[in-house]
Amino acid sequence: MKNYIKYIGLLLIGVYSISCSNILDPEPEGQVALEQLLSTEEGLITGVNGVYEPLQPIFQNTMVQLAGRSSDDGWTWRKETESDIFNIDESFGLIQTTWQNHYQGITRANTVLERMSTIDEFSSAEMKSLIEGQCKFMRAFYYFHLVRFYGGVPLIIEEIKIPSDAELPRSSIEEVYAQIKLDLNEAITLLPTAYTGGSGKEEGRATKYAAMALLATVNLELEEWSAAVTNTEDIIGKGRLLENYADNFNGSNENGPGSIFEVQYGGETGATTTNLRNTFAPEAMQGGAATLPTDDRLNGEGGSLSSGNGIVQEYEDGDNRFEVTLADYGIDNFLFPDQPKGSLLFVNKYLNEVDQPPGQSTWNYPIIRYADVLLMRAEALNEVGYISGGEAFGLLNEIRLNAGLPAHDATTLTSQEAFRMAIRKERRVEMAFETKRYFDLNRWGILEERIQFQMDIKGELTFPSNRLISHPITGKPYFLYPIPLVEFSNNANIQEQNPGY
Amino acid sequence: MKKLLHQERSFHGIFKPSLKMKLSMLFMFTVLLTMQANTSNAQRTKVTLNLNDISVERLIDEIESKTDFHFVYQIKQVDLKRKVSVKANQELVTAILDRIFTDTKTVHKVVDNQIFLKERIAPPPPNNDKIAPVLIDLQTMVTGQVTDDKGTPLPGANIVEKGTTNGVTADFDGNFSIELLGDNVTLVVSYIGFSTKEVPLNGQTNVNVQLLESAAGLDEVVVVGYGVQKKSDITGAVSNISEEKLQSRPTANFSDALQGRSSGVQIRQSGGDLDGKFQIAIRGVGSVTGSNDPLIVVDGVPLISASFSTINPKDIASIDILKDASATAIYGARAANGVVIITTKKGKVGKPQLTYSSDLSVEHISERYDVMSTEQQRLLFVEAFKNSNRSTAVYDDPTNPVWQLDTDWQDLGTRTGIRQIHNINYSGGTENTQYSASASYQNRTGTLLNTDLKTYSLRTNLSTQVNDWLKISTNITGSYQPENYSDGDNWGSTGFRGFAYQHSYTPAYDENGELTNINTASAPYFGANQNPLVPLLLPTQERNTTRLLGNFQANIKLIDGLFLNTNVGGDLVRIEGYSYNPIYQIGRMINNQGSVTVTNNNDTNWVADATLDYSKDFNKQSLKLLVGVSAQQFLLRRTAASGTGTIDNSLNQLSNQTSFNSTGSNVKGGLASSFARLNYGYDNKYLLTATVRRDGSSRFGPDKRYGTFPSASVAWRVSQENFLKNSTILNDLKLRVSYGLTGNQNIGNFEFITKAAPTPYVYGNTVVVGNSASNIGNPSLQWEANKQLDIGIDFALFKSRVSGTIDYYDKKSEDLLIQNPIPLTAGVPNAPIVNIGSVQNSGIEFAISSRNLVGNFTWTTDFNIAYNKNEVLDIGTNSAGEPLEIPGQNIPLSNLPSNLTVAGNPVGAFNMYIYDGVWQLGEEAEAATWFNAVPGDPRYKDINENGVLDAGDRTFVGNPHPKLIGGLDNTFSYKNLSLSVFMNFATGNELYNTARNLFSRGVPFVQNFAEASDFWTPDNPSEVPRPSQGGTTTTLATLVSTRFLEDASFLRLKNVALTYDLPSKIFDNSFIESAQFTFSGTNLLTFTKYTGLDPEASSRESLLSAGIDYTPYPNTRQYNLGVKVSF
Repeated sequence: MKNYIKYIGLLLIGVYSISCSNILDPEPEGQVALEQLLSTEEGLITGVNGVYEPLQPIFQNTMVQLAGRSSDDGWTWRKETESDIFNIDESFGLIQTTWQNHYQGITRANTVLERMSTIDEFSSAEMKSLIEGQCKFMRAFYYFHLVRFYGGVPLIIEEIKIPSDAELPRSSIEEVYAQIKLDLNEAITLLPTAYTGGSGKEEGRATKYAAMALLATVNLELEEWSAAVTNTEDIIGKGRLLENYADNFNGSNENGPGSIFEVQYGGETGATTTNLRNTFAPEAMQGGAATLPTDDRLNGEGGSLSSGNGIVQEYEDGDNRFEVTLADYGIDNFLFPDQPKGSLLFVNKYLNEVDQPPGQSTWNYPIIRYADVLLMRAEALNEVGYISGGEAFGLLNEIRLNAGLPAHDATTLTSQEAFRMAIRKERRVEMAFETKRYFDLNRWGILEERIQFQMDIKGELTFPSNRLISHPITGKPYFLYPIPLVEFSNNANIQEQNPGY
Repeated sequence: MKKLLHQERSFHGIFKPSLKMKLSMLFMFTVLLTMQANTSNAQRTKVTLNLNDISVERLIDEIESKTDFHFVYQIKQVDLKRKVSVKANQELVTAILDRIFTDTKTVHKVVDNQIFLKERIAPPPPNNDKIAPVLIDLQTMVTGQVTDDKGTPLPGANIVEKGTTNGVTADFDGNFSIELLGDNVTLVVSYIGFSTKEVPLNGQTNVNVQLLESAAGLDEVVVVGYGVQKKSDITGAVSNISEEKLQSRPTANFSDALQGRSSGVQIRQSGGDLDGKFQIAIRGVGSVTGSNDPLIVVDGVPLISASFSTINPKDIASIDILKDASATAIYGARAANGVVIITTKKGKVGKPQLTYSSDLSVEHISERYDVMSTEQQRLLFVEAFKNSNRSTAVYDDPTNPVWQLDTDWQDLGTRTGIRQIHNINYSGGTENTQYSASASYQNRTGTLLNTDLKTYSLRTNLSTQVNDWLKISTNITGSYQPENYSDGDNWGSTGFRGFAYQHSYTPAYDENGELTNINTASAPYFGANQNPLVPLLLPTQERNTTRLLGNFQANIKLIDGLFLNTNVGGDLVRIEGYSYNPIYQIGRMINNQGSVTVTNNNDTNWVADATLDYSKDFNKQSLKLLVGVSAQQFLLRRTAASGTGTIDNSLNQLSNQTSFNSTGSNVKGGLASSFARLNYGYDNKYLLTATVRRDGSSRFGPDKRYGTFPSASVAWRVSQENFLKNSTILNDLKLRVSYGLTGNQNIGNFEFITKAAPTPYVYGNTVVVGNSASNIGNPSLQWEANKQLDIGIDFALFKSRVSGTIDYYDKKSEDLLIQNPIPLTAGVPNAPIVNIGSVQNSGIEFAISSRNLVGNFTWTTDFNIAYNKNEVLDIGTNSAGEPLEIPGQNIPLSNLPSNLTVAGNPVGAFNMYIYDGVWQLGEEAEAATWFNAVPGDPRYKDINENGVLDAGDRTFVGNPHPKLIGGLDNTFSYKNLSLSVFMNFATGNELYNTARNLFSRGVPFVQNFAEASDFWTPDNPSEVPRPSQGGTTTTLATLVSTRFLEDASFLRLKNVALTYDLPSKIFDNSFIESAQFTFSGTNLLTFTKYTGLDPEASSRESLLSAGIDYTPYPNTRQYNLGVKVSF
């Protein structure tokens, strides 16, 4: 009897020890080792999707504040965040999230590019070049944002395997642009002009034209005018302006002829939709009205830089883009209660009243529109040389006529400078609140002048000109945001902060 | 029915006759053999049997069924399986037995109608004629009564014949009667809480035994993990909280009942739910980023789920808290934060007992926020708008009807809470089988409207001695807890916090009594003008917790002193949530479509362990050895689905919605362990415990999967030495020293690999799967190691009227699991977890218990106090080589952390600006250079003396961990009345009052606290910042600073209970045995400087953000009437 019991005891112990090895080696469920996931073509495609994903957060709050509100187009009554008055420091939260979001996209692209080599055979050569082309395009895209916000940044182009791989020193602005151009030129050869649909080939991915247009934007930034002319050449005629300006933004023509590249929003969650609607809508419409259009009638009151170079005043009479872009909704003026109803304008472009709950809009956000390409080419042509009534006039007028405005001709724009001003005005109005204005003002070297004008009206504020550099390529005065403070702690190699911080 | 002498599993108690006894037995049996025929009536019983080839066991059954005889024997002494055949026709039973047991190892003895079967000591003398029969006065039956020193009977006292396992329990009046096996017997009489007494009978047949209360409880057994130990044998730091203390007030939760009861155990409340969530910290906090929760073990099942409120506090018989490494090391990798062992009520041998108890309480919110009146708020608007260059036109006229309303949201949103608890317990048992079962119902209506909590629970504990080698027991609890909850404990949450947030000049109800809200955003309705009752009353938020917790244990005796114990247990927790946010349009509060969220958490946790337990006493030495293996697996399944789109509030189910979103996860993990423990004692003086456990955990990579955790301790019972043995002053003195290593594995799962995180993207409007790295895997990740030295003294003085314990400990947590920050250029959201750094907790614990007065009027005092010093020794460096600084969670609006963890300071030490009043007139120039400030703006100390306000001005200003914590319990009793007064306290810590950070900044967007009405103006140069709405003043007033950091020291009159036992004589001839009434008050008084609702609040679980008060569910003052009736 007792012996049996002993055996039972030993048996139990045996069973435990065998079962233990299973207990300790659980298969991660729902959580996959990345290495394993990126070992197939299907997995890599999901990796590519992950490369695009940071676009969704970037083009909500961050870009609206850092590249929208900080221009002369927007202002905020709350004045709790300071990018509007150029009073941010190195620990400003958005500086950090912007930096982080972009590097997430970059390192994801690096990882996919590196993991591609472990796959023996792709389903087609085309699929392989699609994957490679998109990653290179997106890497260039993210670096282009970074170099314009922060100047020379650490140039990470390999997969990060251990933490120290991320601790690289800052490269120069020139080095970053060299990499951007290298990537974009490769992307142009690798990417298709259109997508046919199906897994990995969905419409909305970056195309050859997107890569060309992005390269042209780079050219404009660097004042490489003739390269910009060349790089926009092939795109002309591949898209068209939408008759109804609102259709560019209201989800009705996503990835359509008016668009070159868009942030894709959709689905049902906060993660894949955009809250941009609520950023602009007034409180009475369940928004926060955090960014309002500058309006000279406000006389500098209400909060931050509300007036001076007001965008409201930039619209010509009869411009059909005005009421798409701006609206007063006929509601109480919540800032100035003694003013009549409808006396305060709000940004209306992204007011999605269809998707619920409000603030989870599925409308895509334009990154590069066909109109932008037209204006870029017109600007580049004019900078190459003013030709009275030349192609540049045609491009500009295509936009104006579509907006219900009279065409310009040699009599209204008599000089290169006059044409330059017309282009600048048209860009501002056509692409209001599309996060272009800050970059434009900065590359034209007129950011300080425009902002200081607003500050003078508001009073008591001075533009921090000690934060301007002379751009190493264009020689223009150029404003840079600070490298996030935390990077100096976590990356001993980064060393230098931008001037003025 | 067979009675088994061997009733309980015991390490010592196997019947081992001494030489003297053997001789007496020899005589006894000799006599028996010769006098068998001339005895009592029963013994003349004759039976007829005709059985062929049956077992002895069967035969015994047959005889028992046909006669009044009962057999009493130990299985090992009788060969029950032996086959016999019996043919008897009206034969004497004794004659039959004579025949059956001739030439076997068994003899029999008949006493009354009991037949004792015993092992034959020596072969019967071959020729008994030659030995003269000697008649010995066999002492077979002794009766008596057990009482305490006042003569009060001690029902349930144990009376055991020394050296045997023959024992009985005293009945309700303390009376007992016991059949003796030997002669010259000594009885061992014991009762929990009393010193055990040995009573030599010396021929007496009736003895009255008086037991002395043992304050030290040296004979009590303490549960130590995989076994029990006598308190006197313990060499580690273990504290035990008795049922009596735990049950002294109605509590929703065992951790609530622990508050202030044990030295070094700190309980703090968080959460916005009715049951509250409690954080337990034992001996300070060691882990910076991991969990500091102790391991909770209920009847041998280590829990992984934290819904402690589903464990019925009424079922708890005792809680043992293992503190030092010697005590905890047996739980290895999970023991670093201490172990809390909960033992539920078990049945006792004796007649069935039925107890019904009921508690009825009323609860009031004990503190409330002091908010501005509408008029004060109006003046705040005027001043703030003036200071921010906004039009004040609408705010200037005090006669405007808008300002005539002063809604008290705190009053409207709360009510008197009622709590009922009903509990039925019945228990009892025979020598073989003991049972205890209970059913309980608790119903609480919360003090916050629309919150309530019900708990139904059932428990059955059973144990059976199947035969002399097998004992099995099961403990099973099932509970179901439906709850209606409200969100809370956040910066701008909808719970109690929301009542302070919203402006008082908006109405709550319209003239029809319906919820209402203004329908304009125009001035003066600026800012927070929502009706906070809407999000409290309209949405449905349900959470139903179902828990099945139980285990099955089998204890198998292999040979003398060697047992195999197996335990298989499980804990299944299912929490299903349902919430519905309805459609409504109440003024400006509009919800166009309903949304439903259904969540399901399924936690399955099973454990199986087997231990071999050996114990042997030889000469003066005693040895206990335990070796065991254990496997535990947990499966955590979470699913959540939400849908929106319904346009009709009756379509409030998921299937009625039009768009959906769902998430789910499934985590499996496990632990495989082996362990051993040696207890060695010499002469009851020198004691040694050595423990080692080896754990394998799925939390770590294949290379680092196993960890070994050893500990050792020695103790010297000085009082057993000859020079102290007879001391009348010092009754017990034990010195203890222990040192050991334990682990903490509480980090997420699969941190050792680089995980893919879902990062979905969209094309067109179709969401596609996206993946990216969520971390950088660290394959060399391993446990946090905790090295602890403990030096302790246990003592009892003055006839044990004063007893106590002092412990000094030094606990070093090393290889801390810390997220080592990486540059953001790494592109992953989560920094890798690495083993780095160390934290030290050292302290002194003191607990004393004293019976100040004895006699008719008694007064006892229990007091405990613990001092702890927490210091981060090292948490590594960043890439730049600077010591790492880990900030706590940012406080909203200012987006600054209030805590910063760095080496040389406590974990999560408070680090912020030092508030220095406001800039006054005449200081304009300095104020302007400082931060563009103007007179009336807040001023902060220029710590780095650089003339501007910057991050360098933040400095260490406080400690979120109390230096001293403790409790004081005084119990007075006179006859049937007893009064207990219990206080707890903590001191030396600060608490960050986020409510003031939001409501006292003079920003009229929200309703402000009354303190802000003394704001600065040129005419009132106070130290309260001037009001503002936006701009520099607002920025400055919102900063995280010492203005909102408050001393959280407190002394609280936690509980006062008056208990009255009805005199037992009124129940004579009644089915009721006793009845007790208790009237108690909880949280009656709190002495504190803290201005928030509760100085014990602590809203964030992470230590990095310790000591922040976001307003948990409001603390209540409770008055309770309790009745307890035993049948």
